[in-house]
Amino acid sequence: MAVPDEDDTSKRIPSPVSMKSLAAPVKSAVDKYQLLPEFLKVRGLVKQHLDSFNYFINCEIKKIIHAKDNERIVSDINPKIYLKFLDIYVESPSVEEDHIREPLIPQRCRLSDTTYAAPVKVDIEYTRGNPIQTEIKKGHVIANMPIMLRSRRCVLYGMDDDELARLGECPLDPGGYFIVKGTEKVLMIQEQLSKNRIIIDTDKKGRVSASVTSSTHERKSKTVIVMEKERIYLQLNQFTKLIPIMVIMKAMGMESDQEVVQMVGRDPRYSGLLLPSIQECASERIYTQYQALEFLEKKVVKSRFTNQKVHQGDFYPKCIYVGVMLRRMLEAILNADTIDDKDYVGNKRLELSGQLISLLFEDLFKTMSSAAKKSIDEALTKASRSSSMDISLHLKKDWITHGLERAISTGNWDVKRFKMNRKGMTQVVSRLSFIAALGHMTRIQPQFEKSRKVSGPRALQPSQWGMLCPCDTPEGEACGLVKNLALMTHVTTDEEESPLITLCYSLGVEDMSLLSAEELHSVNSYLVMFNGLILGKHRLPQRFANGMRKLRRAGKIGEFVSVFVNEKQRCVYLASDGGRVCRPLVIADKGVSRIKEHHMKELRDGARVFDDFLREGLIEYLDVNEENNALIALYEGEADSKTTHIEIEPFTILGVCAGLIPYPHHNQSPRNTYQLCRMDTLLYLLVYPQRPLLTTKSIELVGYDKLGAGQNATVAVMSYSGYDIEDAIVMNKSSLDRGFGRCIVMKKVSAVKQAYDRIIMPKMSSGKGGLDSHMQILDTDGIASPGEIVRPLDILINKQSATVSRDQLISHKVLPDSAYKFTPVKHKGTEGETTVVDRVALFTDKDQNMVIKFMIRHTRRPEVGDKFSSRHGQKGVCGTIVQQEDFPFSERGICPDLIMNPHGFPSRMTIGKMIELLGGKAGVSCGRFHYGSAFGEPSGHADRVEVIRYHRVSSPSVYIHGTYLLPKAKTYGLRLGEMERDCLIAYGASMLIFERLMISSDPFKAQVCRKCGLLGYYHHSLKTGFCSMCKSGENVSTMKLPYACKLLFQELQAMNIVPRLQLTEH
Amino acid sequence: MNAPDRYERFVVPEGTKKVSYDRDTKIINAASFTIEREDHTVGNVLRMQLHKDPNVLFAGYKLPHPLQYKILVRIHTTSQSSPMQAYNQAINDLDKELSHLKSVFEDEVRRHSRDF
Amino acid sequence: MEGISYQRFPKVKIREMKDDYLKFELRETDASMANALRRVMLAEVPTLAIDLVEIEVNSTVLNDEFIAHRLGLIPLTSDRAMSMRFSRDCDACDGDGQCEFCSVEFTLNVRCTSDHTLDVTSTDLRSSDPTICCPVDVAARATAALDPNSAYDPSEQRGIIIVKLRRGQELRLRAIARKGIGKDHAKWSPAATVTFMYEPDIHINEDLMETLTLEEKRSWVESSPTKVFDIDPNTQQVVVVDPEAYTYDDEVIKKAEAMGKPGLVDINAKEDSFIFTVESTGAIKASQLVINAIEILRQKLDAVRLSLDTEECDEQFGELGAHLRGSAV
Repeated sequence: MAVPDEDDTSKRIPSPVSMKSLAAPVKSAVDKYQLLPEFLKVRGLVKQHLDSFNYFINCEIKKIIHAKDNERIVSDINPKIYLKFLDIYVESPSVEEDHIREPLIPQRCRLSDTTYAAPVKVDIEYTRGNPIQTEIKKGHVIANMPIMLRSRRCVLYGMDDDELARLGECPLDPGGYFIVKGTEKVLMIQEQLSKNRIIIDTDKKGRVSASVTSSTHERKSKTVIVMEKERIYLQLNQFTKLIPIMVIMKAMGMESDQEVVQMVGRDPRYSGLLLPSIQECASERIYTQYQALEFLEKKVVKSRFTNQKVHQGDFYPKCIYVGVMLRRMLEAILNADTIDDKDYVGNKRLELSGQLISLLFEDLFKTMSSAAKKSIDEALTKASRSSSMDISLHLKKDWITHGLERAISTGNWDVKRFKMNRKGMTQVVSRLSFIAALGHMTRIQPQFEKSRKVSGPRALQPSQWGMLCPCDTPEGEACGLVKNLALMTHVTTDEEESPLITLCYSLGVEDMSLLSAEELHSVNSYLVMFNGLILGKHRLPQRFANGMRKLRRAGKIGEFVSVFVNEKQRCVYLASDGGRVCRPLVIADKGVSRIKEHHMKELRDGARVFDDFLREGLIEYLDVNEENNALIALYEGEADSKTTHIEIEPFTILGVCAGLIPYPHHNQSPRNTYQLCRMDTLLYLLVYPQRPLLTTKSIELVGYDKLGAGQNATVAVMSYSGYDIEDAIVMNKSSLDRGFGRCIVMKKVSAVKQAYDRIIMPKMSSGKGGLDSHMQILDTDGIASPGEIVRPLDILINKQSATVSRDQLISHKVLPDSAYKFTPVKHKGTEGETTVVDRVALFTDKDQNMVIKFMIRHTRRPEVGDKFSSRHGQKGVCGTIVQQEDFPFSERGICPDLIMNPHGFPSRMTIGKMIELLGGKAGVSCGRFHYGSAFGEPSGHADRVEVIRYHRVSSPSVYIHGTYLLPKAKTYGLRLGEMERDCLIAYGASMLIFERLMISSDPFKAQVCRKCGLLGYYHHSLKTGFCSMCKSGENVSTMKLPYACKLLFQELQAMNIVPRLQLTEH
Repeated sequence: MNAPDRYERFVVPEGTKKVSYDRDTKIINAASFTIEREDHTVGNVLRMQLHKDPNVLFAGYKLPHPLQYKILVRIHTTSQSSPMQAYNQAINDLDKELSHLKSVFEDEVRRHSRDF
Repeated sequence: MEGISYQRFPKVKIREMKDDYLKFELRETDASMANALRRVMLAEVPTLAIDLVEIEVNSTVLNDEFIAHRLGLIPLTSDRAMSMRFSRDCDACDGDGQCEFCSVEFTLNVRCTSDHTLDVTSTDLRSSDPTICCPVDVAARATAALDPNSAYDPSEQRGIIIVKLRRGQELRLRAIARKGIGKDHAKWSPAATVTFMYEPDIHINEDLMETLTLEEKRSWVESSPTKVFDIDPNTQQVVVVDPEAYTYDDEVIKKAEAMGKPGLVDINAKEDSFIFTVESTGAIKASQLVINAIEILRQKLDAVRLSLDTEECDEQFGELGAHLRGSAV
């Protein structure tokens, strides 16, 4: 469908422009919202994790075992004895119990503290027996690999809601995490600089350097070219010292200096910069390849660098690569603008669970192989071999199983082979609320350490638009470093390279090896780079790029292949590697959206799915780099003839968590950020969860309306009772009585019955008739039964442990009572809480001991001091609980559930909350749910207010406010903050406040007009104060006030608010 | 956790008097009444009724703390009366007003249910 | 000690009366009295509500406390509550709330045997003595059955849902309803809504109003969020159609000022007239609720009378006291 369409448009292009604009259909904004749920239906919210893991399971793992070094295990002693891996596959999760394999379900793992893992099986060809015969064995288990929930191998894959519910799974749970030893662990998305790409940067000393981190299955290395004392050097791990660049070039067979200069470009400025390096090389008397290699020999092994492939020692591609690196670097020296931005999202790659697991797996696999080899050799050296040799038995599965399990449960990725030692890679899925869990899965962790006080990586990058959420980042040290994916972001996985490379050549790319050094930088053609690899040159880059894109839209090549023409660097970048972030956009032809109303209608009718849009070339994925070649209109109406793409929905720039806030665009932006961190403060299990009256579209997409985590409250904004200062809220006792804010807190208590323990029925004590008061909840089996009310110190398990030694335990079958010591499990609770045993679970752990788990529930109603929060980062503790009759009421009889202090609004500037209040009331009055999505309504005056506010933020007040210092230490001082000030006010130390906030801070002599109360100025020629309002200097007094105060007045005036000072004699 | 029991709000603890009287030691004809387990309901009607009495120079009440379930009523009268007298008078008047109100209301309910 | 009486004689006019709804005017008294009545109605008129639940079987999705809380919130008919005893001062049963003077027992025994979801509602609660106390919707059904003219439609009433059961789930419990007041827990509050407003006194400055054009009048009338004013289609004069719709929002006054006509309208609250709206939960009839409230308030005032010993204690000051008080004795 799409391709003929394409042709039609191209045919129409020659027609006169005026005619075309007349013939163009009237632009009507098609409501593309419906695409979003469709998108999420196919992709889910954690698709990036699932995709990545699936890719690992299906492809990556096979690549690993088929890699040259991994495929065979050959004995050193008898090379005829070998083992060859033919195939590897991961099965569905199962558990082996008493030699019977049975399928494993996630809920069981959570309850029994086991790992949700699947056997990894290999088909092997190996030698056995004497004489040696080759044999093929299929389905040999080499490991138990933890399986990501909802991935292709998970038992939950493709199940419908009913089936999920039957297995004890929440249908809304997105999956994307692992269960290791009973805890749910999510592998955080790791943010890294791109691999295999030239990055021009300045280092600490201000030197310009070009670096490439190359990474293949065989090796990983980092090559840096730096300029030091005007000479250019190469730095590589294999070499102990910096190597002059010219030596390297010569060593790679580029003996002629002229060729090197040609390769960099004939511009005299470049050769000028190269000159000192050439001289240095000459002074070392290195002229030939042999001399150069000899020189290198001294430093260390053979040179091998950059990711350019070497065929039979042909170093020419590498030379070209170095040439390109050099040229980019010299360019950067001459023109600082061309230095790459390390924080640019296009230069970043996200490492997902699949990639991380694959690294680990590869390492462990190699360890296992070498261990197997060692044990084979050992077995072979033994003189007498009674049984025939079976190599397959030497493959120990525990290596990989334990390695994976340990890494995931501790989060320490220790891969020595790749010099990798990272901590905190996994986190326990936060289950405080549904959104917290979802947000956790989209979180991106940086590679840098958090303590660094740099602003660069923390700043909001423009290239983050649509890819990473601009709001959702934590406060404090990780601010701006930890990010979250936006709603529609997709993270790519690796794609097969060779067909794409062939395609490039057939589309007219001239092979690099055929080019001379001179041609490399010729003006009339562009360099073509594929995944960092120099393919060659193309004379018509734009046409080449368009051709590639057309093929992509037609579905002939992968939808995530990116084509980016960099005019500045005169390069065409093609990328198909994994870890790039990209997002779908509607394609527009000369500003006309390809999606028409009939497409959307088909979508609504279910005749079309999201993938159809992709296949027909209506929508395509763009990554950050390719976005630079596109002109994207926010709304269809704003598109003009230059527009190439249109956003699907503007609010998708926000992430999962940010989407929950109604009207976020009306709030001061940090407030939104605060809210996101806040989601998880006090949410356990709400007794009466409600759907928010004011929803956002994101809420519906995420399914938050089905899993509510809040209640709608009738709120009065007023000051009341004095127990509401500092954001405290006053709550209505009757509302609490009726169930407002009630929640159930669940606590887990578990105990293991060791082999020498026994659990006995409580004995009736002969004394005061009946049971010990703490034993009343025990059932006949000596374990507290569900539904019983537990008080502190009550005994949950009436357990006794043997005091005698192990030998006696074995010899005597039944021990006397005296041999047991009382070791009960007691409930540790606080007095006054009514807790109840909710559930009791019994199972055996891996050591075959009985484990008893209690779920203890406690219903709690809000108390004074509990923390509550709205959706706008407006948190507050409950200051007091007041009877309903003491509460204000309206003449219609409405009595609020809680009272908020209005002082919370002005400084927070959460206009969005006020609008939410209005919207909520409107919703109640007309009985409908309303939308409060970001950018959902046409912007009105609110935006204009915002502009003023930005001015304020950038004003110098920022510097001045920080100067209230406590006298503690003169050199640095501590800030006398707002709260400290409050203490002083409360105490009444007025002179101290005066001194701190005025005299030792920022006293300022201001001219104040007694008549109009405004600030004047000192008129130097009149030698008196002058009021520019009254146009006279008669009534002007000089007074001292803090500069910050004067500034505030002036800022208020700028906002059309007149602050007047009334002066009286004192 | 350590919140007072709910009944504390309205059950007078044993051994405490519902109303206690405290004569002001400095000002004559001034006294404060501490009424246990009452709130604005009684406090406010009493105060307003006391204001009607021309012999009352001052009448006020306060709820000292939201967790102390008692009110303090302070009365200062002229020498023509005494705080206690004014207090009793106010209660008597309120009682009469309420019994009047009750009969009026019951009549009105009867009339209304007959008419409609 | 006989003083002159400062008693007031309030007037009452009922505007609308239904079983669970009452609207009346209260005049010639002050806000303290009106407010005291409101407060007593909300918090101190006693009713019955389930206070003690003994669960025998609960295989439903909701936990025991949850169900107990929901049971507690079901309004029960409480006409006899005034004459019943609080279980804490009941002599007959030692305060454990198990005797006829202070409690009513309920049982609930439901089990779902069909494939359809079964709603357990207040109608499933069996009272030990339905004449004294039963869920209000059950009582409403019973009275409707006796009165053929009633507008009660049993098909519309499904009872108050406690929990939903699916096949095989069961709920069996015993519950005891006791007398209590709203101050203790909101479940004992007999009032759904009790509110009063000052009767507004609206005076339009006719002369000033006539200086306005019809257009201005219309925009002024529309500035009120509630429909208080209207324009007479014949005379084109602004008239007050519903003074009580006014919510004291000052919008019309601000509008008049914005139009440059301050004093266009003068609105005052009548300090001694109140319009009460009382809605009952059904536990007590709305009219009875008011009567009970008056009675309770009287009892409360009676309780705060100075006890004899206090007076005696004052007398101990003897002559000094008498002297200070002058000749009033």
